Amino acid sequence: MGNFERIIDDSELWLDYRNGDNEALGLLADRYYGALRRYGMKFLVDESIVEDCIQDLFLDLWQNRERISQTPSVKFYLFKAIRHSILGHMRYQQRFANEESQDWDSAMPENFNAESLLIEQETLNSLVAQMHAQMEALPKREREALFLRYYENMSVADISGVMGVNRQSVSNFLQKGITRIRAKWFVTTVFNLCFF
Amino acid sequence: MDRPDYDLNTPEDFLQNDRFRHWIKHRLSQDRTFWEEFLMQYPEKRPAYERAVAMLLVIFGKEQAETGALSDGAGKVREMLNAATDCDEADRSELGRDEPLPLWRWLRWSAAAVLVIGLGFWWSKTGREAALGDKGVAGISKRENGKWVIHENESQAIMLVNLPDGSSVLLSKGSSIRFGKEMNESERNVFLDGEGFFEVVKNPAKPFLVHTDKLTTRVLGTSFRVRSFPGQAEAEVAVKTGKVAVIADDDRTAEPLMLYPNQRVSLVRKNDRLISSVTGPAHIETTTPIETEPFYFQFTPLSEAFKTLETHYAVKILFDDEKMRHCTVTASLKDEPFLEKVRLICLATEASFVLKGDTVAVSGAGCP
Repeated sequence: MGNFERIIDDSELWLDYRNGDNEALGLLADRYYGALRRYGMKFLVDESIVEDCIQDLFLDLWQNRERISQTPSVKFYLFKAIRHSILGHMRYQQRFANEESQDWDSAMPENFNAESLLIEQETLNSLVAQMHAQMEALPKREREALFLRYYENMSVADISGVMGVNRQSVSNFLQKGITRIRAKWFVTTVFNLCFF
Repeated sequence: MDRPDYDLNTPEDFLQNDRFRHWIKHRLSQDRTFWEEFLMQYPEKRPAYERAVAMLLVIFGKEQAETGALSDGAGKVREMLNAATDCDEADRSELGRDEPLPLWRWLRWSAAAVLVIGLGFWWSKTGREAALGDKGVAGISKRENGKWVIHENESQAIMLVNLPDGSSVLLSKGSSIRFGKEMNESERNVFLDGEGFFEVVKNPAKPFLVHTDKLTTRVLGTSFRVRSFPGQAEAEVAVKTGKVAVIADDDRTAEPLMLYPNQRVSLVRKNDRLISSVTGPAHIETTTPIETEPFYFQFTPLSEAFKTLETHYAVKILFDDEKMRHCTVTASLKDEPFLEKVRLICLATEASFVLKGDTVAVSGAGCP
C-alpha cells in the first residue's frame, strides 16, 4: 500500500534481480501482485487466467534476466507486460469475435461506506449511481486511462506506454472522460450541512 | 506539506490532488483528520468534494475480493521463482549444456510451478474408500480401485502413463487420469482431470474416449492434447494428427465438433455457457513441445533418437551406447504411442526392450 513502505527502491530491486537475485524479484512480485491482478481483472477475463499471466510474466522475467535492461519505471514495465499478455490471450480466445472485443469492467463500486468518507450515505449513493451511469457510456479505453491515471497514479507518459497509444490520445481520453461525466451532472440537492 | 485547501474548488481540482486520491484510496486515519478539518473550514467546498469522491469511486470500480488470494498469489510466484532457480542450478551442474533446447522453457515451467496439488477432484469423485496405493517417486502416485487404475501426477514435471491398450498419455503436472484395468469393453474410456497429451493405438472397432468435466473427446486412433482442469473456466483440445470429435458436456445433443490436425478448440465457461472457438495452429504459450515434434528420423544415430524420446516423454532409456554406436534410425513416428515408438526403433535395430517403471532398458547386439 502506498508509498510509505517502500524501503528499497524499485529500481534497486530491479538491478539486483537482473544480477541474479531471485529474492529481489520476489519482493517486486509481492509489491505488485495485487495491483497487477486488479488491473488484469478489469479486462473481464477469468481470475485463473489473470493469475497465470502474472506467474508467466514473473517466470519470463526470471528466465530472461540476462537480456532485460534497466527500466525507468518497474511498475510501468509490469503493467505494460501484463496488459500485453492478457490482451494477447483474449485475442486468441476471441479470434472470431470483433476487433474491439477488449472489455473493461466498470461494475458499480460496492459497499462503500460513506461515513468513512465524510459524506452522508444517501448523498453519496445518489452521486455514485449518476456517475456510474455516465461512466458506463464511456468508451473502454477512456475508462482504462482514467483508472490508470487516478487509481494507479500513472503519468500520461506511462499510460501512453502501457496502452500503446500516443500521449495526445491519452490526454484526450482523460479529458473527454472527465468532461463527459461532468457535462451530465445535474445539480442535486446540495447537502451543506456538516453532520459530524 | 502541500496546502490543497487554497486551490481546491472544482471536482477536477480534487481529482488532480494526490493527497485527496491517496485519502480515498487508502482511507488512513491521519488523512481523515486532515479532510475532516478541511470540510469544517471550507463548507462551501463540500459539493465539489462529494462529487470528486463519487467520481473516484466510480473510476476505481468494484473492489476485487482479494484478501486471501493476494498473498497466495504472490506466494505462488515466489515458490515458482525458487523452483526455477533450483532448476537453473540443477541444469547447470548436471547437464552442463549451454544451448537450451526449445522445450526447456516448458520443462522449466512445469518443473517450476510447484503448486501443491491436493489429491483433488478424483479423490472426491472416486470415493474416499479408494485404497491408497504406494506413492511412487517424485510425487507420482498410482492407485487401483476395483477395476480402475488411477494415476495422479503430483510431481513437477510431465509423466508418462502407458495404457493397457498400448496407447500412451503424457500427463501434465497436477493432472490425474483414470482408466479400466483391462480396457476390454467396446469403448476405451479414459477419465482425465487436467491436461494430457494422448497418442492412441489405432483400433477402429474400439473408439477411444477421453472424458473431462467439461468435454468429451472421441477418436479412433490419433494424437491430441486435452486440457480441462476442474475449477478452471477454460478447456482445450488440440489435435496433432488424425481426426477427433469433441462434445461439450453440457450440450450432448449438439453435433460433435470435428477437429483436424493443427486445429484446436477452446471452451470457455462464461455466464454458465460454454463458448467454443475453433482456431488454427498453436499459440506457443499453451502448446506442449511434443505437439510440434515430428519424431522424424533419417539416419539418426540411435542415441539421438532415444534422447528425443527421453526429453519428450520424461523417461530414462538405458542402452549400451558403445555397442550400439553404429545404429541409426530412419522412421516417421509422429503419432505412435510411446511404447510403439520404442518397439519400432528396436525392431529396426534388432534390439529388444524391457519397461520398468519410467525406465526402458534396451539391449541389442549392435549394428554393422
